[in-house]
Amino acid sequence: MRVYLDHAATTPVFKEVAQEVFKVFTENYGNASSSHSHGEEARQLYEQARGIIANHLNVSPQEIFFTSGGTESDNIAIMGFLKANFPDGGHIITTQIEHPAVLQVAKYIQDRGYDVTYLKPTSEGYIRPDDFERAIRKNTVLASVMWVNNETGVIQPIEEISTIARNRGIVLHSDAVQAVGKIKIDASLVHLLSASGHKFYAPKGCGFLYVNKSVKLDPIIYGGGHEKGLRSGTENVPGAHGMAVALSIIERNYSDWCKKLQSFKQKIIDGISHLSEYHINGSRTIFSHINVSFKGIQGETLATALDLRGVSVSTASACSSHHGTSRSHVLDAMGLDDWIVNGAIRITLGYENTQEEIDYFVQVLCEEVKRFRNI
Amino acid sequence: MLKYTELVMDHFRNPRNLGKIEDADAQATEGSIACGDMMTVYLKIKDNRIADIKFESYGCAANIATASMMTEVVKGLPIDEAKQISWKEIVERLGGLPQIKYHCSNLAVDTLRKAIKAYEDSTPRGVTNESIS
Repeated sequence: MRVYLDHAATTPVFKEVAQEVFKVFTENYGNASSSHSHGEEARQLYEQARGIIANHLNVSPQEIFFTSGGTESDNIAIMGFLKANFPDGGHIITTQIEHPAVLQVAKYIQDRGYDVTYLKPTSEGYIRPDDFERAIRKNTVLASVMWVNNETGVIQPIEEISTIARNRGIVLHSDAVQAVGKIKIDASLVHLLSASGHKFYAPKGCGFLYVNKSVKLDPIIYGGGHEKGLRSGTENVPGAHGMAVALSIIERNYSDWCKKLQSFKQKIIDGISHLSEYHINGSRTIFSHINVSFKGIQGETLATALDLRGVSVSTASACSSHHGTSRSHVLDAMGLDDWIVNGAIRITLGYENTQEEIDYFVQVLCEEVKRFRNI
Repeated sequence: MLKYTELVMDHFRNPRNLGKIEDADAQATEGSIACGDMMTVYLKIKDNRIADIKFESYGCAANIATASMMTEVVKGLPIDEAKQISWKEIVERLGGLPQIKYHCSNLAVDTLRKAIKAYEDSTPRGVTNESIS
């Protein structure tokens, strides 16, 4: 049996989405910027998608900008905001547990004279709102805090941080790549929000950025002036349509799927409870994520052993000589013991997983853990 | 998963010479601080040959497989020859390893050499443990 449990890396495209996208490829292939009827058809689908996505996030369609995915959205949000409003420097607050798409941008702007504070999470992977408030300086202009952490699945206190940011006049960006399509998001809590289609059963290569109408951004890509000049490049109509269809399907099935994954997650947690000496990393986690370390087994070793039995999970720390090793910067920031950081595997569930797959996984996981503890 | 040969996967799934030797003549533990891998080698020496060898590993798939292959290669060899075994030989015997995993095969060889040295340091030159008893 093959079981896919790495949905935080990417998801399969829903069949219905694939069919819809195929139709756009072959029938509604006009350029959405052309004025003829082929173009007009494509434009209609594109704007319809924008409306569905905006509605899903409780914002207005004019505030949704299509991009190529999460990384591009994060780059436009941070660099576009600073470029347009604070080209001469300022202080930015972010966290140590962000995705590289934010961390590397932060590092880039830091090298160019901006001050950056990287908030440390608790040992449970949570960014404390108090820490956020304490980090604010007179010249703080922007904050970027992810909605859900990709490795641990910890849901961050965006609502509290949003209140603080608003009171202190700071623009707040959130990388919501792991949140959109899994938890109900009110994007209007923040000023800027990034999302990626392939994390919610839409194709790869499409995403969007929500930009609150009060916020001015400069482009980082120049060209034909698409997306009101913020993101030039021919409109990805199939991608936009695919994202809208995927979100509609998720909305339709949400309460059932939510319950299903919660019960699968509990089944896994119960299934490993008889194995001693393991650590579940992070609390207040989303229903799709389990990040767990087993003492005496490297995460990479366990992931490889599971792969040989048909199960795909991921590991954030790997023994490779590129940098001596690649350790999870998230688990490291949480200050966890070496065995926990080295031993972690990330299991991420998806809506298409079945009871049978979960039963098989629990059985195989327990067998492999016991086997490797004897090595 | 990294691209491993079938032989590597076989040694990973079914490691040879796994475990402890309770009355070992020598043993050594070596770790790689960089990647967190760790392993222990146990030796039983007879007539200056490796009569038995076992290992334990807290390592990645490549570490387990190279350790397993190393024990197969050196079992029965005179200790002077065993000392000369290089990580390259082990990797070749496994049909290759991804380059970023070469250091794992180093760990297997380093631990073996450390165990042999521990044996030599504890035994007067030219005298085998049998002749002592």
